[in-house]
Amino acid sequence: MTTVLEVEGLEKHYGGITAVDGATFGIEEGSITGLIGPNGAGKTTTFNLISGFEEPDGGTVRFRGEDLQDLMEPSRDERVIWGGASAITAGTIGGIAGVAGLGLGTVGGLGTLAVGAGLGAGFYAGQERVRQAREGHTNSRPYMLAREGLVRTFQITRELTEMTVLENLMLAPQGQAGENLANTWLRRDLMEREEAEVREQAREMLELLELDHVSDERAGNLSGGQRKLLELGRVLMIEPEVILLDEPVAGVNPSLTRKLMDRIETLRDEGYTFCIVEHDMEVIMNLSDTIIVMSEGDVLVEGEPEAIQEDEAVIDAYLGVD
Amino acid sequence: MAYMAVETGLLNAISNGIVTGSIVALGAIGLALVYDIGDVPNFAHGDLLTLGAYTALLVNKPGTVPGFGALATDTRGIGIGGMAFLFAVSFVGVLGIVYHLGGRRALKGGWWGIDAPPSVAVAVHVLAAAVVGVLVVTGTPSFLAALLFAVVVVGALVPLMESLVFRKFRAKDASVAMLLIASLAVAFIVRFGVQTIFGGEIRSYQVDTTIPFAGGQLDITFAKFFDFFVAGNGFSLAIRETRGGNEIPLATFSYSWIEVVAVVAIAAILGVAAYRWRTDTAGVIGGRLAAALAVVATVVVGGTALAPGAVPETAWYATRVRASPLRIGIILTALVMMGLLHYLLRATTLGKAMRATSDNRDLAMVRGINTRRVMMTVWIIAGLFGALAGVLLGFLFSNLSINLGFNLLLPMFAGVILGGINVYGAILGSYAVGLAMEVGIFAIPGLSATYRIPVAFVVLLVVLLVKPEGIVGGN
Amino acid sequence: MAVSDVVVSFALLVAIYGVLSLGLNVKFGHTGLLDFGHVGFFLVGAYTSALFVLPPDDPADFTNYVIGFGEIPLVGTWAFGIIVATILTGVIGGLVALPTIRLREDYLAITLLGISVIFQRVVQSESWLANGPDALRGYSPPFQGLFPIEPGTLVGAVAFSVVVFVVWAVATAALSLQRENDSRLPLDRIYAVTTFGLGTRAAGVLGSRFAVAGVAGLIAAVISAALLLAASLVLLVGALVSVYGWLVVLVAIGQHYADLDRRELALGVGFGTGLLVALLPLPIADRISVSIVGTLALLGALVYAYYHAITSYEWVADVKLTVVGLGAVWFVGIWYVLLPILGPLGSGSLSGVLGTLFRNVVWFLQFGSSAGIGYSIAVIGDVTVQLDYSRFQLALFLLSLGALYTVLEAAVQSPFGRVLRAIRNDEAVVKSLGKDPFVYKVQSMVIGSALGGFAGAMWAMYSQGLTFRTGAPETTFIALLIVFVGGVGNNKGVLLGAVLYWGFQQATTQLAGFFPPALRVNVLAFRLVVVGVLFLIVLYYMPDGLLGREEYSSGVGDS
Ligand SMILES: Nc1ncnc2c1ncn2[C@@H]1O[C@H](COP(=O)(O)OP(=O)(O)OP(=O)(O)O)[C@@H](O)[C@H]1O
Ligand SMILES: [Mg+2]
Repeated sequence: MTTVLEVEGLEKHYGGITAVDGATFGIEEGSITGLIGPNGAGKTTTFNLISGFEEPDGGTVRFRGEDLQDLMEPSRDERVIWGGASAITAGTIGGIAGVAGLGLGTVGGLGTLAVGAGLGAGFYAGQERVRQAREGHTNSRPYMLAREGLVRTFQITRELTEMTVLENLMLAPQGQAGENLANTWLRRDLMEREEAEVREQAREMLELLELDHVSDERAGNLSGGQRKLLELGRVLMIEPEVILLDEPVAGVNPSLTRKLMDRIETLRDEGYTFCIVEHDMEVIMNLSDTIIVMSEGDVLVEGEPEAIQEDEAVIDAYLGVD
Repeated sequence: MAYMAVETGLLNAISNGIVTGSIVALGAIGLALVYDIGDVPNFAHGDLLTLGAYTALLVNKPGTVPGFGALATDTRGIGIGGMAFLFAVSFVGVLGIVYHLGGRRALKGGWWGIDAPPSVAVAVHVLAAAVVGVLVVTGTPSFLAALLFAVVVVGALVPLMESLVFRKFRAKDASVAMLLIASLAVAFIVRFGVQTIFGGEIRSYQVDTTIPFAGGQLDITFAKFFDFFVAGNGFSLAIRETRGGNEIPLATFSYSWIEVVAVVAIAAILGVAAYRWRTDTAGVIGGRLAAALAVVATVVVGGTALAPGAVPETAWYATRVRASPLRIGIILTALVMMGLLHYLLRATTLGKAMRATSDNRDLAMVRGINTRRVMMTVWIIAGLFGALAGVLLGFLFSNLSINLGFNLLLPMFAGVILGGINVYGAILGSYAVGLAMEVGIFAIPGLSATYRIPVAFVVLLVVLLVKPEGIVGGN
Repeated sequence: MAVSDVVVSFALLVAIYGVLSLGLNVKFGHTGLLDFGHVGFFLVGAYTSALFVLPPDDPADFTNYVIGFGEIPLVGTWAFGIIVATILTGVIGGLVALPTIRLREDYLAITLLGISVIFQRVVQSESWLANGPDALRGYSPPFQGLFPIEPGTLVGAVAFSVVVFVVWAVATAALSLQRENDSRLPLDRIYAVTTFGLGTRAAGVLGSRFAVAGVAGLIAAVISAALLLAASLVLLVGALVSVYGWLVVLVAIGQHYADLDRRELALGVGFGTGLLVALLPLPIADRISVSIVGTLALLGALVYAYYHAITSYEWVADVKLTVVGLGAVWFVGIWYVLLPILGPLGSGSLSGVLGTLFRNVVWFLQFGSSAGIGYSIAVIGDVTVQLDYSRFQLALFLLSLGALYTVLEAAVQSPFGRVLRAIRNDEAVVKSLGKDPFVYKVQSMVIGSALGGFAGAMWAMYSQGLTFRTGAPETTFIALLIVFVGGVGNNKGVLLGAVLYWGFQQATTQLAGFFPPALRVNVLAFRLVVVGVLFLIVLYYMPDGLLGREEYSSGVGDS
C-alpha cells in the first residue's frame, strides 16, 4: 500500500491561538483512517489545511507525492482569463499609444507601440502580483484539489439552502459539459444527454441516503441529520480518490449510520480512501483501519483501533476512564 | 521695495484638501458610525446632507420655499405664522431627538447616565427645546440660525430611517445586500422627497458675509493670501488681500532659522513629554491627542512671540495659499465637532456603550448595554453631522442642487473604508481622501475639476486592490 | 396622440429596460453580484453604438467626437454598432470584474458604483470623446428613412411585413399556449386559421410550437406584403392584425382571471374603479391645491380600505395581489377604451365616438398624420392611415428582446446556471466541489454587462440623443427595482417587472399632465418617491418578487 496523503509538521496559528502544532501523519491508499481527539484539538483545522481552504503557517502536505501548493496552481480557465485580459489591455494601450504616436511619424509610432506593449506586459505582471497579494497568500484554490480527487465535507454543514436537494447533488459531478457557457448554446443535445445521466445518478444517491422523498425540497428545509447526509452524498457524487469527512454521521439515526458505514466500507474496498473525524467511538473504532489521535494541535498517537483503545495517553486525553 | 510675485502651488492644493477633507470627514463620521455599529452601508447618507442643506433654506430664505411662502412676508422675512411654525418645528425637533433615545423614559432623563428626578429632566429638555426654538426664530434669517434649524430637524428625522426601515429589515435577518438595497431605496425617497418640495431649480443661501472684526469689516468669503517664503536667512509668512485692485499687506511674520529650529525643538520636546504624560490613560485626552495639542500650542505661541520681521526680496522658494476666513472656519468647525464627538465617545456613559457595541454587539447586549439606544444615538449623530456638512457644503459651493450630497457619497465611503470602518479611522481616511482629491487635480495636468470624485475613488480602488478587506485601522 | 401610440412607446421602453434588467438579473439575481454600477455599461453601449452611426464630427458645427463611422459602409450601420457595443461592454465588464470580483459584497457595490460614476464623468468632461457635456445628436435610428412607407414599393411592403411577422408570430405563439387551457371559445379552430392550416400537426415536423408560430408569422408577412404590393390594402391588413392581437390579449386576461368567483371579480373591478374615482379631482377641480388634496385623500382612503380588507377578510387576503392586478387591468381598459371617447360623447358626435374607437382598436396603424393613405369609411368619415416608424421599431425591439431572452434562458437553464446560483448561495460549497467561482463570476459579469450595453444601444436608437445623464445612477436603481418586483433570479419575472414599472411610469406621466407646467418637476419627483416607497414595501414583504425564484430542478434533461 502507498501513502496517498502525507502531512508533515503542519502548523496553523490564529492570533495567539495555536490550532495545529506540528501534526505529522500519513494516510494509506484504500484505507479508512479515523481522526479523533478532544474538542478544539485541531481536527477541523487540519482538514481545512489539507483541503486547501486555508493556508498553513508551516509544514507541508503532499497528495500522491506532490506538494499541495503545486497542485493549486491556477487552472487553465483562470490563466485564459488573465491572459486574455492582459492581451486586451496591452492591445488597447498599445493601440492608443500607436495611434497617438503616428502623429510623430513612423518611427515615433513604432516606438510608442513598443512602449504600449511593454506597458501592457508590465500591467499583466503587476496584475498577477496584485492578485496574489489580494488573496492574502500565495495559493488557495481548493477547487483545484477537488478536481485532483481530494474532497472534504464541512463539520457545520454548508448546503445550498436555496436550491433543491436534487440540484445540490447534481452540482457535484466534475467536468459537466453544460458548465461551459459555450456548450449551453452550441452543444445543447450533449448537455441534455449528460444532464439526464447526472440526474439519474443523483436519484440513485438520494435513494441510498433515504432522501428520495425530499428530492425537490429546498435544502434549507432539511433537518440537521438530513443535511449531513446530503453533504456526504454530494462529495460521493464527485467520485474522488480521497474523501475527508468531518463528523459525517453526527445527528444521523443509528440504522442509517449502520447503512452508511457499510457503504463507506464497500467504497473503501473499491479503492476509495477515507479520512473521517468522528466523536462516536463505536462507529469510528469499527470502521477505521487506522486511528490517529490528535490533542492540542499535534498527533498524540497513531495505530490500530484496538491498540488505541488500550493506550494510556489516549485514555487520559480523550477517551476517559470507563 | 517691490513685492515679489508669488504663485499658488502644492501648498495651496493641500490647504484646499484640508477644507474638502473637513467636510468629507463631517459626513463620513455619521456614515462610519452607522456602518460600524448599525451594520448598514448607508447609501442614503449622501442625501442626508442634501436634506440638511435644503432644510436650512426654511430659515435662511423662507419666502422661496414652496408652500411655506404663504407664511413669509417676503423672500427673507417671516410673519407670526412663520415664526410659530419654525419655533414649533425646532421645539419638536429637539424633543424628538431625545425621544429617539428611548421614548418617554428618555424624556424623563433615562439616557442621562446619572439619576435625576424625572420632573427635572423633563423641565431641562423642554427648556432646551424652547431655547433652541427661540434662537431659531430670533435668528431668522441668519445663516447660523438656519444651520441650527437644519441640524435639529435632520437630527430628529434621520433616526426614523432606523426605526421605520432598517430595524425592520434587521429583524428579518436581512442580508447585507438587502440592507444595501434598502438604503438605496431610502436614498431615492429622501432625494426626490426634497425635490418634490423644492422643485428642480438650483438654489443658494443668502448670507451676509461681512462681519465686524477687530474694529473693521471682514468679508469671510473674501480670499486672503498667505505667502510663504523660504530664504537664506530664514522663513517668512505674509498675509495679504486684494482691495480695490491692489494687493495690500495685512500682516507679516518672519523668523530666522535659529528661531525656527528653536520652536520646532521645543514643540518636539513638549510633544513627546505630553505623549509620555498622557499615554496609557483612558481619559478624553490620550497620548497622541495631547502631543498634537502641545505641538500646536507651542507653534502658535512661539510664532506670535517671534513674529516681527520683513518679507525677503528674493527667496529660494515662495508659494501662495489662498484661504478665506470661511474656509478656515470650516476647518475649525470640523475640528470642534470632532472634539465634541471625541468627548462624547470617551467621557460619557453613552459613548462608552457605543464603543463597546462597536467592538462586539452581542457581548455588549449580554453586559446589559441598551444597544437599541446606542443604535439610535448613532443615527442621531449621523443626522446632526450630516446636516452640518450639508449646510457648510451648500455655503461653500454657494449653490444647492439635488445631487449635492450624493456627489459626496463616494468620497465619504472612500474615507470610511480607507479608515477601516470606525470613526477615528474614517476621520483620517476622509482627510486622506480630501487631500488626494485636491492634490490630484493640482498635480495631474489636464485633469479637469470634474474628476475630483473619480480621483477620490481611484485612491479607494487602489487600496482595495492591494488589501481587499480594507485597511483595518485604529487599534 | 392616440392612446395606442402611448402604448407603443410604453412597449419600447419595456423592451429596453427589459434587456437592461435581464443583464442585472444575471449578475445579481443569478450570481449574487451586486452591481450598483450597471448603468455604466448602459452608458458605454449607448455612446458606442451612436458613435458608429454618426457622421464624422464637424468643429464648424460645434460637434466634436472621437469617431464617427456613419459614412463608412457596413461599419457605419446600426447592426455593426450594436455588435461592437455589446462586445465592448462585455469585455469592459470582464475587465472590471477581474480586480473587483473578490471584494466583499458591500465593497463590491461601492466600487462598481464608483466605476460607473467614473464612466459618466469621463463622458462629461472629455470634450474630444463625445461632445463633452453637450448632447450627442445628429443620428437617426435604423431604417427610419423608409418611413412613412410607400405601400406600393417593395421596400415599403417589406418594412410593413416585418412588423406583421413579429406581431403575428408572437400572437400565434401565445395562442398556442392558450389553447391548452379550457376555453369556451373555439381556440383550436382559430389557431388552425391563423397558422394557415399548419395547426397542431406541424409542431411535430417543425420542432416546437414556437417554430410553428414563426412559420405562421412568415406566411402572414408574405401575404401582407403581397396584398400591399398588389392593392395597397394597408387598412385591411392592419385591422386584421390588430384584431388578432386583441383576441389574444383578451383571451389571456380571461384565462388569467378565470378562477375568480363573482365576489372576487367585483372586488377587483371595484378596486380599479376606485382608483379611477380617486384620480377624478385632478381633471375636475379648478384649483390645483384642491385637486391635489382631494386626490391624495381619496387615494389614501382607497389604500386604507384595501389594507383593511386584506387584514380583516381572509378571502380577500387570499387574492390580495390578484385583486390589484384585475383592478389595474380594468383601469387600463377604461383608460384605453372609454376615456378617449368621453369628449366626442359629450358633444354627441356619433362619428367622433366611432372614429376614436376605431382608431384605438386598430392599434397596428397610426391615424391622422399628414402622410399616409386616405380611406373613407361609412359613419366614421375620412381617415388617413400609415404604419409609423415607432411600430416598426417596436417590432425590432421585441425581436431583439425575444432573441436575447431565449439565449439567456438557454445559458441559465443549464449546469452553468446551476453553478451561478450555487455561487450566490454559498461560494465555499462551490469551491469544495471542484469549481472555481472566480471563472464563473467573471463570465456572469461579461454576459450581464453585454446585455446592459445592448440595452444602451437600444436606448440610443429610441432617444435619438444622448447626454452624460444617460449614465445617471438612478437607472441602476430602476433596473434593480424591476428585478426585485418580478422576482430575483427569474428572467420571466424581470420582464413582468419591466412592464409594471413602465406601466406605473406611463400612468403617472399622464397624471402629471393635469398639473401646471411649473409643478411638473415636483410631480415627477414625487412619483420617484412613491417608487422608492413601493420598492421598500416589495423588498420587505416580497423579497422574492411577484413570481418568486424560479425552480430549476425540472429543467433540461428531465424526461
Ligand atoms: N477561524 C478561527 N479563528 C480563530 N481560532 C480558530 C479558528 N478556527 C479554529 N480556531 C481555534 O483552533 C482550535 C482548533 O479548532 P478546530 O475547529 O480545529 O477543533 P476540532 O478538533 O475540530 O474540534 P471539534 O471536535 O469540537 O470539532 C480551537 O481552539 C479553535 O478555537
Ligand atoms: Mg471540528
